Amino acid sequence: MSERGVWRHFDYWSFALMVLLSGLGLVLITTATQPVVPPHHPLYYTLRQGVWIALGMGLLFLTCAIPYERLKAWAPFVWGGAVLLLMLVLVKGHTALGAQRWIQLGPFELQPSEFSKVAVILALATYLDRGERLERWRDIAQALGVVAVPMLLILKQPDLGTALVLVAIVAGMFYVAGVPWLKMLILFPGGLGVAVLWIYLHLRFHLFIPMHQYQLNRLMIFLHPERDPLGAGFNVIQSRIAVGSGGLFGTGLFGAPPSQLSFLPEAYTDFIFAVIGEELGFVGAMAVLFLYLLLIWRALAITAHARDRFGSLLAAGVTAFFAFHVVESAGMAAGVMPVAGVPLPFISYGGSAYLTDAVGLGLLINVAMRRHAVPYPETTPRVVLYSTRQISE
Amino acid sequence: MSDRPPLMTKRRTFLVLVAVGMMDMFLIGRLVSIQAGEGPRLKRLADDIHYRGVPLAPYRGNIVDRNGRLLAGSHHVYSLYAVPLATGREREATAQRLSAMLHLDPATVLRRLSRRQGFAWIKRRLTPNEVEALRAVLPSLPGVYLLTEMGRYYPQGMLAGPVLGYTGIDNQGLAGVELAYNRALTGKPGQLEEVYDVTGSRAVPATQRVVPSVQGNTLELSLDENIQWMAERAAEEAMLNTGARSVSIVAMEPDTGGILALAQRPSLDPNHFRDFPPQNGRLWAVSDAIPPGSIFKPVTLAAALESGATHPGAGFFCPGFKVVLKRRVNCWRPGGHGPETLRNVVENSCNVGFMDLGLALGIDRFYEYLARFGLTAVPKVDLPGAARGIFPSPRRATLLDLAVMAFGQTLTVTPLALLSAISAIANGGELLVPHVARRILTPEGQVVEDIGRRLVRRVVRPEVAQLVQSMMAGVVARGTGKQAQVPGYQVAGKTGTAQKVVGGRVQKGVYIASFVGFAPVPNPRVAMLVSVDEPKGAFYGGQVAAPVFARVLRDLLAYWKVPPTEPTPRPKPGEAAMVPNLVDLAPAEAERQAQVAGFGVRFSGRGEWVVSQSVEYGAWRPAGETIALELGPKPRIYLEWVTVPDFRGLSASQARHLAFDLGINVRARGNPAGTVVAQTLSAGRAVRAGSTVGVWLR
Repeated sequence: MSERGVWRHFDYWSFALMVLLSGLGLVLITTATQPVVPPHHPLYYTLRQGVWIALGMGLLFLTCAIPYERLKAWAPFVWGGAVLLLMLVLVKGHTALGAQRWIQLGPFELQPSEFSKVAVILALATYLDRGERLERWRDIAQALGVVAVPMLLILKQPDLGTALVLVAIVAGMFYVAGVPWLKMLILFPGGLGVAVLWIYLHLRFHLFIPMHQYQLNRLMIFLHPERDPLGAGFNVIQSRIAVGSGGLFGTGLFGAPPSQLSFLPEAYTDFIFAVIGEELGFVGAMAVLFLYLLLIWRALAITAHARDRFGSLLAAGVTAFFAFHVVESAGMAAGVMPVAGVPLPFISYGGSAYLTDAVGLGLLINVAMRRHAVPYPETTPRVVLYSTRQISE
Repeated sequence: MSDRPPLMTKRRTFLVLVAVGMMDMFLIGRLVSIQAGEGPRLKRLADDIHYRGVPLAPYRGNIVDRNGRLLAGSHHVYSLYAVPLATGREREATAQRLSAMLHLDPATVLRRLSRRQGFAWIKRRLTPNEVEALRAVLPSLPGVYLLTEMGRYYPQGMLAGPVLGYTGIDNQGLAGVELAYNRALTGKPGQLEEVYDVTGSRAVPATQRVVPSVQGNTLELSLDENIQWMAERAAEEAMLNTGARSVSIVAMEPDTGGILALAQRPSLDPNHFRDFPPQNGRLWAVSDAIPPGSIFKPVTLAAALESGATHPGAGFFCPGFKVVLKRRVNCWRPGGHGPETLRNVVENSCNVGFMDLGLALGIDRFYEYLARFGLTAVPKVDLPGAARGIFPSPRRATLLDLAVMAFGQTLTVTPLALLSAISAIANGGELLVPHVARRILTPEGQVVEDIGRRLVRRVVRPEVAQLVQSMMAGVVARGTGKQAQVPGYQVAGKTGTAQKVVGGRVQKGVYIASFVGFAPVPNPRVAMLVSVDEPKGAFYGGQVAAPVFARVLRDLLAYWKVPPTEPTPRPKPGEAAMVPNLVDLAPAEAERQAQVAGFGVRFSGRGEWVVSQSVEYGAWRPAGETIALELGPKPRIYLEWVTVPDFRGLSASQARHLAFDLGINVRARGNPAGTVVAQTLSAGRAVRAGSTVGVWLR
């Protein structure tokens, strides 16, 4: 395959969106972390996020630079590495917020479950690219096996949010891979229905459920946050208060005390959409949602116009990943989704998450860049190609 | 491109875009509902959570007399409060230090510092010394702050104490006009709001919102500070002279219904109302229905004349008793008054004559006139606790009840209601709403509400009122009320000596001596009622209450510079003449007044002021006698600064007399038979007249 001219097709749209969102994220992180700052430098979180953004950009270009077909060969190792890391986190992980999610790496904390998203996308795309039509349950079950291992490990941490992201990724990729309608319906809305029914039966008849009570509470509380305003419902209520006091135009970025009073926990990470709602108001929240919609539209276009099935699958996985993150994170802040810690792509603070987002977008742009690339014999000498290019320019 | 199964990407991706778009729409809908629909409510909730309010007390409006002189004012005091969450780990040490400085129990302070609330008082109304000491250490005590509040003070001390009432710790009116006009006086509290973060620390940078408080309105009373002072002194003197249980003096302007003075003893100093028995703060002239006795008779008389039940030329005969329903009811004079005209009946206060008037009226008309005079309803006076008189029910009242009620027994009225009725006679027949507040003013002095004169109804025709006035003038000129005379003025009045009813039975030997009247006739400027409860010794209203009445009236007419209406013919030597009151006058003026009254004077002692006279005021002596007057250095000027004397070694009664002479009050504690061993205000200190000094007796 020829690499000639691929950079000319670099998707500036999505890259611009990423830059825009990252910049906005920096500003929001700065305002949202003002109260928690005192032990640190006032711009502690902002500077760290800046580092992540720089690293993320580098990683994005790195991801773009490697023709995505080559990644197919890496897929088993990436997948294996991710599973290993997930196992390691269960053994040696650092516990915070009631879950064992992080591995201490020097001054940084690594969150392997974030990376596992990319690993699953890559592995599943590789697997689905083998050619099965996915019309039989057996094929579907085999494909599901690829996801099941990391997902179970993630659930063990527990990290419900990431597990749900994996479900969304699988759904998106299955959908694009051509799983028949009926089976899609049975698998995903059906699965959701079963989960809801299970929870209902648990609450009603104390049917066994492999969840902690607090997880269940957190899942359910968004329906009635006022039942436990200082416990499980605290976040939901504070988030609603923050969003509600924003009004049409918001309270302004730095003059707004409420979000700086630390009433809303995780305001600079998973609940950052509430800060948007409060400080930028309805107009700001609409604008941010519109940016994400643009991003997803780009991602879907890339999915649709990918040169080959593998590229399309990769793009579909990333699309589902972003779409689910946006809907869940914003919906959680608005109180229409259960509380499951999911960051807002490119905006929320967090190194692992940002790097994962960057790699995801890198994959997307990678696919977009190479949609016009004409396959050349592998033997085409690079030197010639190089010289030709030099001559032509 | 490839032999692998086709991807249904195009159609499917479009569907996904539609689905994501729908999700977005749903989210947007939700945002609209939260930010637009619930927005205002959530914003309030947010403010509730983020702001901690510290109340800012409004300036409570002043209470002034009819001339604008301050009777109650507000001033700043410091109070100490805590934001318990911000007190931190040093809470116990803080509690220890504060308790030592403020003389509080450490456990109490600690409890207040540990309350689970945003705001807790530690101590209110700190003394200047405490504030001084606190200022130095406060920066080192986290979560503890000073706040200015409003304190209430009554610059005239005991003056009109029960009328003014007093306020509680939050400046809320608890009694008197402070309670009755609480809303007008209070103003609107403000709020100092500060932002606190989730851990309870003040947010950085400090954000404060101040909702300023609104000052309360000024209340202008119809009281006159000087007249009130005259009444207070007269009441105090009456207590000392008669040993009564209580004395009450109410003066009213007949033309408006405005109360000029309302003094009572025992009384209280609203600055320290907690140190007095609570009943001292009750205005019994307003809240206690008592048997009026003969001072009720003008009402019967006016009713009988107005209704035509009698006429000015009617004749009566008093054998000393009258038999009604087979019961013999005695006149106060055992031998009876013999044949009398209506005028004689009034001047003699003849019970038999009034029984005849009552029976001539009949039960229905009698009750009708009671109602017209406002005696059966609660007066609409603007003081708390107003009561209604008690009467036998009209359906069950017998002729005996009627006959006895006609001279003021069996029924009860409040002194205020009766004075209103007498005022109606004094002003030509119109019953007015009695009131103590004249106007409500803004702090800048604009009139918000004019309370003033409010007519209830016309009670009697002006001719009848004039007739009753002239007969009442006869009571003072020739009848039982001679001691109420004020030379130079025609005074109308009626004496009263009511038998007290205790537990439903008339109590022997326990009386209420009273006097009601007005002056000058015609065109009375003031109506006044003096009521002395259970005087020791002399108990007739004419002996006990009338001199008190005369004393206040004389001062008042002089204060108002009412021109004398009557020529005062100098009595011929040897003729009986009343000794005038020469105390409190300059020697020259005393000599002149004594000469007018027909007496000579002899001065003793040195000084610019008469401090005592050898023959008591009100006594009747042959004209031409010489009265010895003692001069002294102490001018009894109202509302001045006086020097606190050394009370130590004096008995309780000596201390009280000394204090009275100076125009201050003493409040004794300890053994009543002992001598003073200590006093609250040290000797030599200058205080306002009317201040209260506490003394301990051992």
